Amino acid sequence: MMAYLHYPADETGYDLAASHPAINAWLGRMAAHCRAGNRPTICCPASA
Amino acid sequence: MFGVVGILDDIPNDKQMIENEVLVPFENDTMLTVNSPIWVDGSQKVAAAQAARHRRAQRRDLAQRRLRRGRDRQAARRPARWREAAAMPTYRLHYFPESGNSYKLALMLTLCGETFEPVWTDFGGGVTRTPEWRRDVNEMGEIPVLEVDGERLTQTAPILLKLAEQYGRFGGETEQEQFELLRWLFWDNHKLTGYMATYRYLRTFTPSPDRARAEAFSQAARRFPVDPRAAHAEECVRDRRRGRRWRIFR
Repeated sequence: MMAYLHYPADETGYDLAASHPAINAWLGRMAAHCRAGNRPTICCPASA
Repeated sequence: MFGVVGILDDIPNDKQMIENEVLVPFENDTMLTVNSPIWVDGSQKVAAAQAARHRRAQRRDLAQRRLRRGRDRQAARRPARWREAAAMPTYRLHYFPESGNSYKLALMLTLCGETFEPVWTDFGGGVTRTPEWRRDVNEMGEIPVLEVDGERLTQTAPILLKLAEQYGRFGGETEQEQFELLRWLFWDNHKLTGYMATYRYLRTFTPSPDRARAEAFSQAARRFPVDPRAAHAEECVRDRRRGRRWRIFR
């Protein structure tokens, strides 16, 4: 569920820190568990 | 005459019983038990210990988890040629970088200690909407597509469930956990991804977005009482952590 929620506010149009603080805090805790190699830019590189 | 003044489920949270040490934790555990009223005068009272059968079951469970973690770590360290020799499944993920659903599968595979070949796809260029894509890759005209040893799997949620089952990771162990997992998976696909991802796509990745349509999706997504739901989900996970049965990242 964190997949679509973690994208930046300028993409999603949702400032979760302001509108959904509990979700934002949860995402922060989930991100802390994710190693750098698990971030979308590494998992799903921008080019072939 | 008294009516019902409490139920068994209330006992672990009974502040008075805990503060007065009527309930005490087992040795090296967080599980509570009733404090014994008997002790040897002049000797220091020792902490309550669990029955041998339960301790054995706990040790077995811990050993199995350590073994599984060890296997996962070994698998992650194994050179690619060894992995092939061991007939591990080979994965190819057809994706595009902006796709959250692609990220769900990529993250799941990575957390399961697997590697995969990323197959970048020109979604913006309309590749997935061509008859060739529908004929050769996915008749639904969608992405991501996960190839497992050449077999093409589509639709993120059932693929996640399949991987959870295959690797014994991140799935529900009991019937109740399975139900909870499916409940959130369906909610994510229908309500969260269904509206929020569509809004993000229309807003950010469409050259000339239909603003009225995008705003309709945005409003639909904003109406959902997401915070209480998330708080509930996290509470469920916390409960499982207390019971030492399930952790999000193990």
